[in-house]
Amino acid sequence: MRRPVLLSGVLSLLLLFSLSTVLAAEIQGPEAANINWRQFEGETIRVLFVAHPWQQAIEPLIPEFEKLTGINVEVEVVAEDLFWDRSTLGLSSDNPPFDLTFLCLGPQGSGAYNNGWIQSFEPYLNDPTLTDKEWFKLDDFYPGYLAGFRLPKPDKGELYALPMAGEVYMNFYRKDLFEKAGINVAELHDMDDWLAAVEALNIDENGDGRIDIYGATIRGADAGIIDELNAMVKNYWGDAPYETDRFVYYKKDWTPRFTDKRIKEAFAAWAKLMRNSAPGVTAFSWYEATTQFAQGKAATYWADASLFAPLFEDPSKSKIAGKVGYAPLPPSKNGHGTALFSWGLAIPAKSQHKKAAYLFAQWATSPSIDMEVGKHTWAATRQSTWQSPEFQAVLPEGFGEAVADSLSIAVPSIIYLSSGPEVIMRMIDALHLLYQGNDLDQVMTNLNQEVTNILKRDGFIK
Amino acid sequence: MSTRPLIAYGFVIPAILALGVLTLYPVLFGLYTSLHSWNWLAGQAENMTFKGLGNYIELLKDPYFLNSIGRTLYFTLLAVGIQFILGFTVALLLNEEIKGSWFFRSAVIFPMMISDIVAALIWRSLLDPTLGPLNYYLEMLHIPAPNWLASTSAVIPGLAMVDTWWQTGNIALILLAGLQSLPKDRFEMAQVDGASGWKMLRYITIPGLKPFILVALIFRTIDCLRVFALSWGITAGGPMRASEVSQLYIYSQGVGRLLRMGYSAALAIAFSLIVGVIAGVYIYLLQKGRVQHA
Repeated sequence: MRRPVLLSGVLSLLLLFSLSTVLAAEIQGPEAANINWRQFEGETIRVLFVAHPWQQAIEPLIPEFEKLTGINVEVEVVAEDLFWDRSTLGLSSDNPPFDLTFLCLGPQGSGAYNNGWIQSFEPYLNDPTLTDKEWFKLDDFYPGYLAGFRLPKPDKGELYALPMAGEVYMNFYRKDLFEKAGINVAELHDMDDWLAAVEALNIDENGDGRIDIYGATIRGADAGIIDELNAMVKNYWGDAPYETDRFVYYKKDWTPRFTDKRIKEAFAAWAKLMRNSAPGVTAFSWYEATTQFAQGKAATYWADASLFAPLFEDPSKSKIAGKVGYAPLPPSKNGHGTALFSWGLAIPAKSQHKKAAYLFAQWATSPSIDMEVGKHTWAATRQSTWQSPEFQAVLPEGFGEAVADSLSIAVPSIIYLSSGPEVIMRMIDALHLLYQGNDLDQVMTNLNQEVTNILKRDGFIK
Repeated sequence: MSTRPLIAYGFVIPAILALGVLTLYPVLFGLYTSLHSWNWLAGQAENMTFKGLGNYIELLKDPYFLNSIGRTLYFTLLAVGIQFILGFTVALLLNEEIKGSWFFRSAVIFPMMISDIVAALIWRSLLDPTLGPLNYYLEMLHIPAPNWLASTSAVIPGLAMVDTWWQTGNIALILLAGLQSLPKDRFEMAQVDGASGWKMLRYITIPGLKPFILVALIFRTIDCLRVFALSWGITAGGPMRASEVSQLYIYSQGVGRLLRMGYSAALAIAFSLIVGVIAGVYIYLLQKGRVQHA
């Protein structure tokens, strides 16, 4: 019996070795690109980064870029809260204070596009002196991540940023708590099963009548909720068609459909999860929601970014390292889906160093750098990275599969609507009303009417 | 003709120019902007369109703006009321020459050295209902712990509490300066006449402090009406817009989120008028007091 085992072991090793050799051959470093990296030697570019795991991972590598190109890179890092107006004012300036910035898939990108503030990447991607297409492999990016930066239409617009930190919305759960409660995850087949499990996992550990570990944690505040909420809504929407530049919320003539049964079910599910979260959930942004989970105060963390997995698995920041299970959103009775999001690198149209900045964006999103940075962020945007055994080896058990399963059902969370951020505020109001127990039909009818009023005011509908 | 007036004007002109550039121009530009549609998200960043009084008509019908004014006034009344009572009490105590009074003076002033956003972030952690230490200790003492950040009724008192911690020293310092400027002979004469402490407070201290009280109230009222960082940093206006104060609403309509610059400018000007009227009432009372005093 030993021989077949030995033989299969040797064969597996050989297969792994040859596979990694092939992939290693495919993923070539910047020096393999057939362009002159030093054509802008001596120029200085200023980059504006959000404080983000990608920024933390790329910064130590920047000296390599400077050595490769002779371009000096000055980095400014700001917290995400401060980033939005800094970026907007900078992009709107005739003399932008940066040559490269984070760009958000969604309203920030479409707003910047509408004003002509950002540079299309198409001329640079098609210029052989600037891009070695064979080496850069644009098609290697997950199409969903690229679609978010194609403007004005995600399926046929020009590319205005290169994605570098992708996230897909999925579920995180405490394997130990499920096991202790006798709940077998394999037997939870859909949203209803999971919601029932969440209710059973509000745990009073010391018998004092107060809940010590809540069944769920989830975002409940802040405009940043929209991508996660979109994931849930898409899950309930199923495979029914919709306009790709406005998500499922609007018909072709911009008539809102928040009274659609599927959207109402998704909002109701979200509110139910909020009610099974810690008090204060209406003020939870990503920070509070992740802190609850990382500090062991919640049994499940719903519909949030795959990007948070490294935080939960870091024992210096998390009390639950090694206890986390990963899963795609459970299917609803209408189908199965989720959303994805990516940050990208964009160049102000009025920058004086656009081509040098493009070289940086190209280098920073190239296959080998995506792999290198991805090992720290687990947020790589290229398919070759996720398929690489070298990359998979750094991921915790079950995470890579859950991300792959989620990506297979994910769509970009895009709403190209200038009134969009105002609508999002109304959507959050509606969630809070549902959280407080108000009637679902009434809340969603009112929401639909308010959104109709906004769209009429802004001239989208008559 | 004497050249003295010309020389005097020469000295004043730089200040007028500086004031014009730094104050007048932004105000006039804000006024101009408020009469236009200037929606950056819709691609109008370099293309304002004249709208007349449209933005002002819209704000009169905007329930969220009216809500924000209500929340701001509630916060201001609560915060200034509590701070005045506490600040006055602290000033009276600090006015007594007791051993180690320097320590208490420093302790009262200390929170004022922290910027508003830092105060907000400290208290956001302290007030967190599940992970924050404040509720942890309250529960240890079997005191019901309010859900500071998630309860629509507790959130403004919670913010007023933070503002009180942060700025009570401001009122205390102004009133302490006033107390120390009161002539001591009046108190001595009252004591000789057998006046009680309460009567001295009622008939000597408070009337003498009136201008100081009004100045302290003007400063704190205007500051509280302009509250932004506490709400932005602690609750982001929630829950259910219960702490969405006017400055936060104006910011979110403008550069903070929606980039409706014209509408945001109109809101800012309307709100400035409200603050101006309230400040005007105080100044009228102050002037009236001075005239009576004279």
